[in-house]
Amino acid sequence: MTRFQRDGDALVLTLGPEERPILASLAASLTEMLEPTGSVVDPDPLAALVGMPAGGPVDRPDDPAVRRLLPDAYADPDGAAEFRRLTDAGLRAEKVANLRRVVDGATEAGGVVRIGAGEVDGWLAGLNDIRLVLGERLEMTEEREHLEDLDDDDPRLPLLAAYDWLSELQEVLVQFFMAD
Amino acid sequence: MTIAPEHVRRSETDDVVDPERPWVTVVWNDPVNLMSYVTYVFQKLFGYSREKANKLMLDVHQKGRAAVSTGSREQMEHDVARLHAAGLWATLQQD
Repeated sequence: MTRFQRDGDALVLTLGPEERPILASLAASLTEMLEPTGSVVDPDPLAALVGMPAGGPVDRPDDPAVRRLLPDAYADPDGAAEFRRLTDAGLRAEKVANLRRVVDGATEAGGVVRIGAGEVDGWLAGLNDIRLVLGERLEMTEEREHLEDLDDDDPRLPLLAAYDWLSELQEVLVQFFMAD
Repeated sequence: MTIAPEHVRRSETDDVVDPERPWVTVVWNDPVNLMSYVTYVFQKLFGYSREKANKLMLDVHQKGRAAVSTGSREQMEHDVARLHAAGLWATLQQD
C-alpha cells in the first residue's frame, strides 16, 4: 500500500515493501525494451554524446508495445521514417532516463521517495510508459476488464493489479501537481 | 529535459508543400492514458489554461482525436516529439 504525504510543495511517497520490487522490475524491463535495436550501424559516439540523431534510418519497432511508446508521427510512411530517424535516439534516451528515476525511487531505502515539481514530469512519463506497455500486453480497451472479473488463476491478474496500482499512483501525482 | 534543436531542425523534404497551409498536431484517443494526465500534459506543454486543456482532452476522449496545436511543420514536429515523450499518441499533418 503506497502512502502519500505532503511536504511543502513536494509529495512524499512511501512505497510498500511488496510494491518496490514490482515497480523496479517493471521499470527495468521497460528500459531493456527501449534499448535501440540492430539498425543503427556503428553509431558515432560524439554525436551520441551531444544528443545528435544517428545518421542511418531507424527501423519501426516490431513490438507493438514499443511502437505505442514511439508511434509513427505521420500517416505517410516516408514522413514517419524521417521523423523516427531524427527523434528516435533522443526519445529513447529520455524515456530511459525517466525509468531510471523510477528504478532509483523504487530501490530507495525504506521506499520513501520525495517528488517535487522538478521531478514530477519524469515520474509521470515513466509511470505512464509502464502503464502503456502493461495496457498493450493486457490488450486493454475502453471497456476494460476489472480485477474482480478475473478468475483467481488468470495469468493476467498480476499485470492488471500492477496496472491499477500505477494508475492510482499516477492519478495522485497529477492531482497534486496540476495547475489551476 | 527539452529536445535538442538538432532533433527538430529537419532537412528540406522532397514533399511539395504549400507553405501557406499550417500544420496541425493531432492527439488520438487511447484506452490507457488517464484523462487527468492528458489535461495535465496539455497545460504543461502548451501553457493552456485548465479549462482549455480539459476541453481538448474531452474532445480526444469523446471524438477520438483533437487538433491541439497549429503552426509551422518544424514547430509541430517539436510538439509531436514532446507528446510522444509524455506518452500521448500524436501525429502531425497539414491542415
